[in-house]
Amino acid sequence: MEEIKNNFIKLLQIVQKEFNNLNNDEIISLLKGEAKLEIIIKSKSKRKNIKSNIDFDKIESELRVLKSREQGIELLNKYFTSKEQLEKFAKILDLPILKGDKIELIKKKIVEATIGYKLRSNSIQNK
Amino acid sequence: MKIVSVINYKGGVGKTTLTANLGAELAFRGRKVLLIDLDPQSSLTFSFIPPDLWQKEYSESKTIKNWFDSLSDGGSITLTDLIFTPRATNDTLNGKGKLDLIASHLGLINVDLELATELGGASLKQAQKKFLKVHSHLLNGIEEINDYDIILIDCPPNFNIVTKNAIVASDNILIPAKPDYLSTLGIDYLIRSLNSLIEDYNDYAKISNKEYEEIAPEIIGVVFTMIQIHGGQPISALRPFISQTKRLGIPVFDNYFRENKTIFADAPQYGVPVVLNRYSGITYQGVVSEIEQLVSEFAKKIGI
Repeated sequence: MEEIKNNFIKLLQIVQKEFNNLNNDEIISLLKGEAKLEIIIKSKSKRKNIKSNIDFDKIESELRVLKSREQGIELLNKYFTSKEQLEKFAKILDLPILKGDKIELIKKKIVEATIGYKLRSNSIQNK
Repeated sequence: MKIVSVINYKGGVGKTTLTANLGAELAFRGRKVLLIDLDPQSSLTFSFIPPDLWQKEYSESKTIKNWFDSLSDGGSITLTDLIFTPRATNDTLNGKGKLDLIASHLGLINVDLELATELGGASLKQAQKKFLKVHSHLLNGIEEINDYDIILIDCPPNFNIVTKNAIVASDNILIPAKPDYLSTLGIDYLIRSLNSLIEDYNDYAKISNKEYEEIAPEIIGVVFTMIQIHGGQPISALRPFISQTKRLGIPVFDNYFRENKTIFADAPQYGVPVVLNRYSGITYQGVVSEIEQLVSEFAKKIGI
């Protein structure tokens, strides 16, 4: 019984969190019955099930000390063989990846977020 | 009394909205706040009074331009002469606090050109002395003002002499920025320019026989603005620019300004910043609450 109660509280917290993202107009539409709430149970993403022996933390550390974008691309080429692995790494780095992004673009995004931003900042600040 | 310049090279980053809301909320909390509008676009001025009132009562003789103009004839106008109390905002305050303003002028853009003619000199020493004099006008002018807890200076989106005057006069620099590629580059440009100005000014001040003191305006932090939220956090396209700025060692505020055209678009029209308005919608209340948290963080950081 206690577990059911706790789960119910957690469920309400999830709903409350989602409600915080609604604006006033959306809430009024719901109250008027002009809109309805939908609950979608997400199945486990296949992507999450990719078995990987890649040490993402180690690669990130290695990338962050490199001095050029070219070295970064080289490093990614060395460690990654599939788009899925790169996407997973980008996700870990909290980078926005679109479904249609090609492998080369994902690599560029990763390199820009780990090496490129420092290069451009240093050059503008004349360091 | 703390003096804080709000500045970014890049326009359209919400600089004036930040200044107006910061000042208004501090006044609401009982602080005595003076806003100085140094941007010729006069957006801060027009956030508190309508242009027609400005035209009728202030444009001729009561703007910051008049003060800069008067410097050439020995300073017949003081900054105190220009201070006024915008009515709509102050009517919403209920404590000991107040919010005053020194208005800007669309013609302020020409002041930079006039100040530039005062630079230079026959010798290096003379040029250095003129540099110090031209860049410390506002510092000297503000010295006579002492009735406030904080002065917030809304700077123009450039690094001309008027802007440099604000930096020289300031204890702290507040940088509003949008978390996107070009805006974050603007932060780097600004830091480079700030460092260069401080270095030059202090080099010359050291050899001025104590006529001028060295300056040390400190970057209090970057406030990210116009943030789109999803799932209780900035959307994924914005997050990398926020984290990269932090990784560069630039101080970044934990709180931010959310994008919400519905309430930000017309608030200046009625002379009362968003943070002082009462909204019924949950989203709008959330925006106000976030600004309040940002102001708390700001007040804590500068110790007021």
